[in-house]
Amino acid sequence: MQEEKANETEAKQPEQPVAAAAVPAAEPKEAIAKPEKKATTRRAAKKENIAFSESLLFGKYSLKEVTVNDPSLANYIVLAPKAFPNTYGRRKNRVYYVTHVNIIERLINKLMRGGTGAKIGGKVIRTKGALQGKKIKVMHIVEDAFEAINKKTGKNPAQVLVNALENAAPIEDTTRIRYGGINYNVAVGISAARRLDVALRNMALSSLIGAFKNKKTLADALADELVLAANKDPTSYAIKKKVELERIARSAR
Amino acid sequence: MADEQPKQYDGYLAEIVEIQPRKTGMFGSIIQVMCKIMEGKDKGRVIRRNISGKAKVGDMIRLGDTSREDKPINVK
Repeated sequence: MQEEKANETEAKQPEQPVAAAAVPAAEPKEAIAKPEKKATTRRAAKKENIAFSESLLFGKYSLKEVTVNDPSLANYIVLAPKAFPNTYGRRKNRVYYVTHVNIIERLINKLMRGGTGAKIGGKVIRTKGALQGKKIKVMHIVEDAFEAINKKTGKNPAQVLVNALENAAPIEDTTRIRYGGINYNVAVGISAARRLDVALRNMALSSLIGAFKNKKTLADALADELVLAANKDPTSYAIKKKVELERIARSAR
Repeated sequence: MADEQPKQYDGYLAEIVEIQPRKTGMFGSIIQVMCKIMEGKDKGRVIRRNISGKAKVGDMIRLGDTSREDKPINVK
């Protein structure tokens, strides 16, 4: 238990202990060895014989202290503690399988796509299969993005993700209904599961757009989008889409 | 972060009480539910609304407005 607590305190500022470990050479080695060092992968931990916490996300961030404020999304945002969120698609095609999948894994799954599909800003973006089916690769991208968020804001990146999803989830949509050969657009509500789906998809799309033909990496684009959406910034792509969707729905009530 | 005010999101909370067995919409993607309003001036009222996406009894949704009510689906 004490080791776990020590790890959690480290998790808030992961860049510090690396610098601190190099400086104190005069102190006894055994006393500082355990809390100072940390491993980011299972393999590195085994090599250097260090304890690797399986309850922290990527070995750094705790998911226990993350809170969901919106009661609508609270049932569908899964925050079970896991080091590497991957279920290998075991529950796929079952009813309500999303209630068993970690929220960070769902973000990873949405990022594993070949492009934007439709035209956005006059052009179709294609990654030429660079991310399709490559879950470990995308997992590293998300890990880099979370590190960037932690550097920028100093908060737990999982909390930033949850706040961003709460702000970017739309509440109203339109659908087409036909009466006697004429189509009408009618406003409808959105269920909790679909609200989360739309928000996650917009986050993934915006990071693909931000990194396309640009110096920015995909991880940096994702980090920027999450921080903007968490602060309710109207320049965020996901917030823009949400406002547009709700504006159309409001006029079609 | 955690210690923000409770009323920070748009719309009014409502809990799904009952789901109608019939589907509607052009591609059958819309379902009709009875939901109980939890916030605002119409608190406690149960109204009929169309929603898109998957839902089950006990889920919480957010409604843009609580004044209007949708028509029941007529079966031919």
